Amino acid sequence: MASIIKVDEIKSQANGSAISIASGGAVTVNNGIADAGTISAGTLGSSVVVPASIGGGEVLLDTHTANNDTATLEVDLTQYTTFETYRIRFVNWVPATRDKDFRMQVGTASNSMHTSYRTSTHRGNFNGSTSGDGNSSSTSYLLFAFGAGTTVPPTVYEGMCLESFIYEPRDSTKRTRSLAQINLFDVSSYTRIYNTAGISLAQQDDAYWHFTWESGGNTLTGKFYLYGIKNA
Amino acid sequence: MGSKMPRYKHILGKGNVQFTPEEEAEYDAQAIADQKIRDEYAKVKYKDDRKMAYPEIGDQLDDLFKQGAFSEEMTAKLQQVKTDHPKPN
Repeated sequence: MASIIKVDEIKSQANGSAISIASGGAVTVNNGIADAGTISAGTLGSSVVVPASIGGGEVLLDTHTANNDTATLEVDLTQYTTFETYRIRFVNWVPATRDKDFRMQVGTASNSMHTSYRTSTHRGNFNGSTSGDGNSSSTSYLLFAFGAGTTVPPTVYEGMCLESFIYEPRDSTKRTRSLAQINLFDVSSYTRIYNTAGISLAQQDDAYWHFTWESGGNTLTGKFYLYGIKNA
Repeated sequence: MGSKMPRYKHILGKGNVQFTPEEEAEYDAQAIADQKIRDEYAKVKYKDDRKMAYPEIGDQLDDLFKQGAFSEEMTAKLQQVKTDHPKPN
């Protein structure tokens, strides 16, 4: 026969509150767990803090799946915990119309995007038989990608995968900087590699980011991930 | 003719929001500026296309060194690139 004990609180011999039990059964351990042994099942809630030193150095803040209904992806960092460094990832991010540049700007508000940057890109391309490389630059975007060619627009491409770090965007005394690697792929089996580094010329709290395709076209498909990186 | 489809933006964690008239105007102006750049680039795009299609510079130099002038084979390759990527009128 099962035994049942009904209590609201369990205390130590020295009268310290150890465990509180809410009416619904939720347990609060009031002074920590000295040794949990092995936790063999269950799920950590989203508000659990994992120390950076044991693998919690990077936190997935949000994701978005594109489905051809928006022209701009906007990030409002004020709704998340502030981090020094952010990492962003685009997977198979494809414009609704082919042959479009990809761009990122940052600013202090959604309607106040900064427009002066110094961004340098080294690029290469290969389609199985033909290869090429070169350098490009932009004064208008913190991060950008376009097809092979010269300093202005591209030949045909279809989409991209991107990994990028954004450094200290929320520090109003610093210029926001970016470092990115981009794989742009197209219908002709070209792959294009972009190594790009950029800075915003303004020292401001760049809490708002805009990602767009050239000429305001929609994003057909793709997945976006935003991570915050802790200082260990 | 129907009116232009409105644009939307997706604010991460908040959802889709329709562009304001000011944002629509800004994007329209940007599209016009982008098209101007593209039109200018179209005039010189053949240079990039040729650059990517030409044989490797090392191969060209090697051919030149061995033959004293471009071989017929190399000349034909270079001419083919120019033919495939003509300069616009």
